[in-house]
Formats: sequence, structure tokens, C-alpha cells
Amino acid sequence: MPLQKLGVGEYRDDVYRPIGDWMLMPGSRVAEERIQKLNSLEFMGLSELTVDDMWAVNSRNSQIIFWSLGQTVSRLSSPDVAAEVYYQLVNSLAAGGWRNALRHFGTDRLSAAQLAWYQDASHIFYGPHTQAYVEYDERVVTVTRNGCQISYHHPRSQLTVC
Amino acid sequence: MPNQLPPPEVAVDRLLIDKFHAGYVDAYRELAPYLDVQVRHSITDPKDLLVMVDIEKYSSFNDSKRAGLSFDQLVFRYID
Repeated sequence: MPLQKLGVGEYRDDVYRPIGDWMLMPGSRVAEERIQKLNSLEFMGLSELTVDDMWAVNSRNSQIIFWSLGQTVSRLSSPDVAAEVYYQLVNSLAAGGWRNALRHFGTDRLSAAQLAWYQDASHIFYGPHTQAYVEYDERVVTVTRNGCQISYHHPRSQLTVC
Repeated sequence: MPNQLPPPEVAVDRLLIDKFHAGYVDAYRELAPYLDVQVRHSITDPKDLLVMVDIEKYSSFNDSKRAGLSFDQLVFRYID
């Protein structure tokens, strides 16, 4: 199956055409300034919100909540406990996702194309701030990302994290 | 001699971030021993990528880069 014959995000006959540029995804074009205004409730008309607005803010909120979880546990208990919470939570989510991919393809070993598909599929539902730029050949799958679930420019540490 | 250690709050943030990434990498390593899995996070310069890809060809990546966001790279290599 020639890659060029596939649509973006389509998998067939063990060939996958990655999404590539996520500007196509809902919410990707919403400016950071607008996200912050919406998140600060600096707007009036609820009916004026677009699907893009809601995708963008929902994605950002999930990042903030995830990040705040670590900060809160760190404050209430210790940074080591917070780190272990992250580890256990993400480990469980990743293992579940991987098993779902194996079940989806009916295999116990993902091919490179299947792995590339899985990486796009597993990031797509987290919204426009967790873009995964997937590239692959027979031996190597690379996933380069702008962000992840705890990407957040934290004002206290001045650290852009991912 | 200047103090080379990061401020305490940055050290804590890095600990949390490291463990976040270790969580999924360890899951993949356990479930797919036929893969070598590597991750590098908080990359600010494309020269630091584990595998060189032309990430700057993606307009959405460049938007995030202009916003000052760092990025990360996850690499799966088939070892058998």
C-alpha cells in the first residue's frame, strides 16, 4: 500500500499515514491569549463559544489539573510521594492504552505502522496541546511532541515543563 | 563560583516531570520487550533530539516554539 494513497490518519495493510501537522485538529488555531481569557471567564456570551474554543480550553484545563495534582500532593505530603503518584498513574494509563492497541490490531506485537497509529490515536483525544508528530520506518518510530499532559509554563519556577 | 544547582522549586518540578515520563516508558518496556524505548524531555534546541527529524516543517510546532514551549521526543527502536 503506497503511503500516498492513504488519507491523513488512515491505516491500511500495515501502512499508516501520520496526522503530521496538527493545525487540522479542533482547537489548534485558538490563540493562547484567547485561551487565557476564556479560562479567566473574561467573556459573556456562552452561545458564542465555538467547538474550537471548547476543545482548546478543555485541553488546557486537563493539563493544569494534571499539573496541579502533582503540586498539591507535593505540598500536602512530599515531592517524592507526588512523583510516585505521577509514576503509578501514568504507568497504568500507558499500559492500558498499549493493551487496547494490541487488542485493536489482534496481535501481541505492534508493527511500526501500528505503533505509529497508536501514538497518534492515544494523543488525539487529549486535545490540541499534546500534539504528537509521528514518523516511522520499519525499525524506528519517533514521536516528537510540543507538549504532554503536564506541559505547563509554571509561573513560580519559570520552567516550561514537559 | 556561581551556584550550579537549580532553585528548589525547579528541582521538585523536574523530579515530577522525570517520574511522569518514567511511568509510561516503563509500561512500554514491560509490555514490549522487543523495543528499546527512550525519551528526552524539556528540549529547547532541535539539535538535542534523540533522532533528528525536521520538526520545524510543522506549522503547529513552530507556533508552540514561538510561544516559548519546550518539547519532548519518544523513540521506539525494534531490537529483534
